Amino acid sequence: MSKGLALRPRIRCGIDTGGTFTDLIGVDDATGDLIVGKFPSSPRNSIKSLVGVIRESGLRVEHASSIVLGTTLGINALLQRKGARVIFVTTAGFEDVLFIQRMNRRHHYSFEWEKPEPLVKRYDCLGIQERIDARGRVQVPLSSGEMQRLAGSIEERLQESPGQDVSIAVCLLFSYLNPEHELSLKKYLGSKFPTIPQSFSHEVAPIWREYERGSTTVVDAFIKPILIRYVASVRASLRQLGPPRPWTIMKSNGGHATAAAVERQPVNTVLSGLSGGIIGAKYFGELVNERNLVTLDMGGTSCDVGLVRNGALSHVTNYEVEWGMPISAPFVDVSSIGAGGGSIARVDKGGFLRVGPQSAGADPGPACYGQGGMEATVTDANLVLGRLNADYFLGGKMKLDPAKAQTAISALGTQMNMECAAAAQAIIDVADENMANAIRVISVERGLDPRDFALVSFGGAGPLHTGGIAGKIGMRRIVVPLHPGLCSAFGTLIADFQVDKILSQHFRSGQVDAAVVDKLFGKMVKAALAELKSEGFHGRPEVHRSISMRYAGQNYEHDVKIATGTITRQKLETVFEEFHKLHQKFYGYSISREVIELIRFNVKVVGASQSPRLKDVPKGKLPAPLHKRLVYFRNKGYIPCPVYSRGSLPSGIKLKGPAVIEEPDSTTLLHPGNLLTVNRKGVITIAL
Amino acid sequence: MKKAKSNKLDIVTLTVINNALVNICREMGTAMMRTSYSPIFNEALDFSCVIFTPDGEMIGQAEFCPTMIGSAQYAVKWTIEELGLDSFEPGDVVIHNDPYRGQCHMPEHMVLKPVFFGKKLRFFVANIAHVGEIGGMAPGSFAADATEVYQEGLRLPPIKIMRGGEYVKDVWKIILSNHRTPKSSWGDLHAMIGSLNIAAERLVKLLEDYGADLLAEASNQLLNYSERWMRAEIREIPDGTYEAADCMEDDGITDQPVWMRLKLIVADDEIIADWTRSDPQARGAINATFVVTAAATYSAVLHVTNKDIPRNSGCFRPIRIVTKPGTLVNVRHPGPSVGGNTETHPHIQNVVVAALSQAIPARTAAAEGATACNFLFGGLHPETGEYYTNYHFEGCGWGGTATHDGNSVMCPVNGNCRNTPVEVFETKYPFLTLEYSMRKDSGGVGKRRGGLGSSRRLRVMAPEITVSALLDRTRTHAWGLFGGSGGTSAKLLVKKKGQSAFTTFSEAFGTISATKFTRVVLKEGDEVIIESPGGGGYDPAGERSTEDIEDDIRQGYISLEAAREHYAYKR
Amino acid sequence: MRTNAKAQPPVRGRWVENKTMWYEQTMFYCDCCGMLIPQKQFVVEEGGVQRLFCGTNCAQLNQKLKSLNKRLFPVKT
Repeated sequence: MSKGLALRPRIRCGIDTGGTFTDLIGVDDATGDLIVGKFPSSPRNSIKSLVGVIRESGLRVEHASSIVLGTTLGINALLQRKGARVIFVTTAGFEDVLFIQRMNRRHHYSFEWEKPEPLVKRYDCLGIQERIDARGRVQVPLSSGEMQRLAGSIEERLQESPGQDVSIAVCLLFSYLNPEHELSLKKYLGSKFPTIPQSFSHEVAPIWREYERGSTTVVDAFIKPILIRYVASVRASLRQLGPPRPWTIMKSNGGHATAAAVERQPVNTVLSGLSGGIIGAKYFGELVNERNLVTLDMGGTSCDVGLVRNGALSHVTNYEVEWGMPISAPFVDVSSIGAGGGSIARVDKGGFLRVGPQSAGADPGPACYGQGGMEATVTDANLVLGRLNADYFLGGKMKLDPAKAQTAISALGTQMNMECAAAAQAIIDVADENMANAIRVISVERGLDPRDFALVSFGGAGPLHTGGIAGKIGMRRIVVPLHPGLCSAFGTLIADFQVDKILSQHFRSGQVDAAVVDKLFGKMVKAALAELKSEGFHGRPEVHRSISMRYAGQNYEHDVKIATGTITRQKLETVFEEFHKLHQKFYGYSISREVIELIRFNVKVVGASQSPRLKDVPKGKLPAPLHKRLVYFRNKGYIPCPVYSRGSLPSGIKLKGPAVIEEPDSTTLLHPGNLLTVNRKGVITIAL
Repeated sequence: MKKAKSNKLDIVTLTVINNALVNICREMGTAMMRTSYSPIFNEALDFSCVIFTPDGEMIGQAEFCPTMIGSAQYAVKWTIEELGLDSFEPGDVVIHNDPYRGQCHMPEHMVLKPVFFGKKLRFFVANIAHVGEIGGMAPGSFAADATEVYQEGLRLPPIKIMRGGEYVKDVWKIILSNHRTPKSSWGDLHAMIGSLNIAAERLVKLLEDYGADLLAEASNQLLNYSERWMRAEIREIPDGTYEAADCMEDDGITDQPVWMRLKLIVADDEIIADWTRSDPQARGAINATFVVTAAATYSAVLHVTNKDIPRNSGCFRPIRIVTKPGTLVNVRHPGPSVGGNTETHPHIQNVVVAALSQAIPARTAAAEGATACNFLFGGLHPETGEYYTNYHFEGCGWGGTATHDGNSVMCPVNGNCRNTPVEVFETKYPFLTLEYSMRKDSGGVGKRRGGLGSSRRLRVMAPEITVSALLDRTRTHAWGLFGGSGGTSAKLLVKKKGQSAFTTFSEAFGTISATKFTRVVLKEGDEVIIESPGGGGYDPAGERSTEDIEDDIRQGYISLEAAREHYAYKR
Repeated sequence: MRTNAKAQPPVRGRWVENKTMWYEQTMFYCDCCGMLIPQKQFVVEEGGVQRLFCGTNCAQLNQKLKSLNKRLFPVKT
């Protein structure tokens, strides 16, 4: 590892902030060497962990060619509800949009459940007299008198909260069709309150559905002051550590945002870092020629599952931070399940074993952490079964206490009439089954059969559970990336540049004017390319255009790609024909001559980043194991199992299970009968 | 990797099998949502997916629509019994929507498929879903003034719609010729049948993994397990007889309230809901079918018992429903029932909760608005020239509980639908919405305030729109509990263009009922106000903390005058 | 539907097939719960009158209700 010998900036860096740890991984583009670092996260001081992990890794900032940061500031601010006081401005008569929400409830049979509280107070929801209709026509014009009256109400509220973060979110009805009133307000409020951060719905999320759009705009305003301060601190810290280097923040859609972009529209970074995992997984999958993947990132608290189809990630335009808090923004399609190493196992009132979603977190953590946790968790089960090494957890940085794990699991075992090992195995089974079930549902949602996919597993706990999960679903191939615990950070550093633009517009296939559509796309593409350039991409971008459409009367739309070039009537007809075919394939029927509704226009511009070329791992023979230890397998009991260090495995070897492969940030468990191979770059594949 | 075929049924295997069954039902529902035609599936989630044993016991369900726990249980069982096990062959699908044979009302259709393994019938999979338009005297199949089932739409007794994997074309032709939007029905029925096929595949895999005998034994144990647990829960409810009653204010034909009366008997480990003293069935479409009453009763019990009990037939065994056919709570052929599911249903549930509140007050809640304020309309769209219809409904306030205020503007308890956003509504339909807000002071007064209802004001923007309505609680209130007061009532008002004041539809158009009518023609410039009711309050208003009162005033939930008058607020 | 009916004296009755033809539209209702009876009826003689039930459970519940109504449960309203 050539830490200090690089002569010019050539190390691309990804830094991922997690709940417990901040990870750093860098690739030297000249040699293919990797540089890694891990530092505890400080929830209240993200700069401390940023500086800490850079120092710990040994990276000299002047050698970094680029730094991409994944941050959890946005999502944490939302989950903890610690953000700005948002003043919400909307069309008079609709001030309650954020409170009425969508009228449905989370549980069918509960009197205890309370409707989610919005991020704004009802008192701060202000209506102004103006109205634009469903065709974009002005029904009630916006007068300067009204704007002045509004300014007065805002001023009142500013007086009430001196020293507090305050921001303004504006969402007028149909602003996505006709933003003129929002633009007038932007000009007026911008000059009247120049120091107050402001968010406008036609910029933040130009889609229909006033609640989702309003909610997204409020989220943007809520986290804006925090992200503005974060950006300033990152600038300052990096300046401390060395000369200025180009740096960006990972967006929820897997692209990069410049500091300026984050300050202007922080909502795009809410799931920063989450997309890193799936991007990293895709890279390693490709290294072993797998282009259809289910990605599984299992950490301490949660498990994130994604799908890669034909080498491409999917994107969605909707995400629920928590039930009832939707954000309409471009996201990489990843689903979170409440299953992790810290998931608590308990026997419910009827005697069923349940694992999660409650988690012991990092504090107090699993019983074996010895920090006062008394509940049996998945990590405790793994330890009892011999799957984890008490002396090598986190590369030895943390010692686990097997006796405490034993106590917790035995107590649970007594409730189930099972002895300790069987109880631990039961916990693993139920946890694995939960994750397998989630993967099945996610696949069906997309009309796919998971058995056709390879399972890429990473995160601290992913490679440990992957054998069990794949077996339950009936998947035949597993892939374990290099440094699985740092895969998210790796994905961050290799992520492409990407700008997504969407616009809600409603047309019917019989009446749509190709010239109008062409103009519309033209504007969107121009804006997207400009943004891509400002993010730092100067090469040749790919431009993708698609239209979301459905049969009139249906509710579920599909994106149909539209080829490059001017949009003519002919081209639209081809697209409609495409849709009929797609519908036939998907649903088993199409309806000829049925009116198609076009409801959304999507533009994606991608600036491909250079794919890193990692060093080859030299060939060789299977080395002697580090040691042997007893590991429990269902139907076999405790059997002696060789334990290898990943770093010592040469490429080209074939290893038949049972075996354990250890590395500082993760452990891979090879089940009896499964076959493990290591490829030229050190990527592990397991065949079931 | 095959699992060991053994007869060992430890708690973990049972857990895993139970989860697998529930997951298959979820996959069924997901597939249905993804492939359906109507928004009803995607937005309203008005469907249910279930797995049954050959004996007609439900062993798995996924919770998409709360209403259907009644029909899910009975419709399938009755169909199996009526047709007989021998009449089912591989590749068959049976359909029925008969309200007297186990549906909540006519639009709800069940499709049922036998699952064979090793040449024997091992399971049934079914789903029940609301098909939006099924013929009958009113578009959207919501005939608020129907007096007989024949006017409500095409009624199908249990018949095969697929035989051996092939379309029974004659049946399809009859269905599609009698529905006003056959494309929609075609699409939705395909979605329903398609999802059954997915479920059948998954069950066959489960049978391969575990073996038919082990699964049959597991099913049995899961049923008994749920039954035991529910009985244990009921034992904790103090024994006694608890009475409660409520009325529907009219039926659309006769201006008389119609009463449902409950004697809830808790006897050791059983609950018996005796509805036999309810009024004879109404002439209008507010009658509840047997399964609606069952579903509402189950819903109330599920609200106050442990949420972890696996929902299968077992957990409903200790809850007995006793009714008389020919009453409001068990309509007898040929009485109409389309409104019973959305309107009478939540009233029935609330009555059971009111009875339970006498036994286990802390777990219950005050009454909710209990009306979906159904407002249906249709016509020719002035811009496209195409015919459109829409079934529109509102949320209402829910009742306060021992520990918190009632939720505002929520779908009534029998459903879990989402509202239509104003922007989607106006893009599709020729209305201008002038207001959509929460109604100040509409929540029942109490230590825990009732939830607020909503207010929506619409202006007609087309030469003509034909409207129908079916709502209740305009003359009654969602009651409060333990000193809390009732919520405000619902309102449906209209103002013709040029008039200065809003009046009821009876006053403006001469409809028999102000709340239940069909085919009133509104003209351009006419306006409608729909106000949904608030929920009841819980515990005396005098006990509400000053902090809460002041926050309510500041946030605009209650007015200063109301605070002074009802909460004795002195400042 | 099976119940955990304990200490209930068994009700004496007999199962009878529903003999209506497939083209007839007759419906039979249980005299206890009011449910539709799809096929087989459980018939019990009660003081000279024939009572139809959907099964033995309802026949037993019918008995139980009679005895419960005689017992002095506190009636709360």
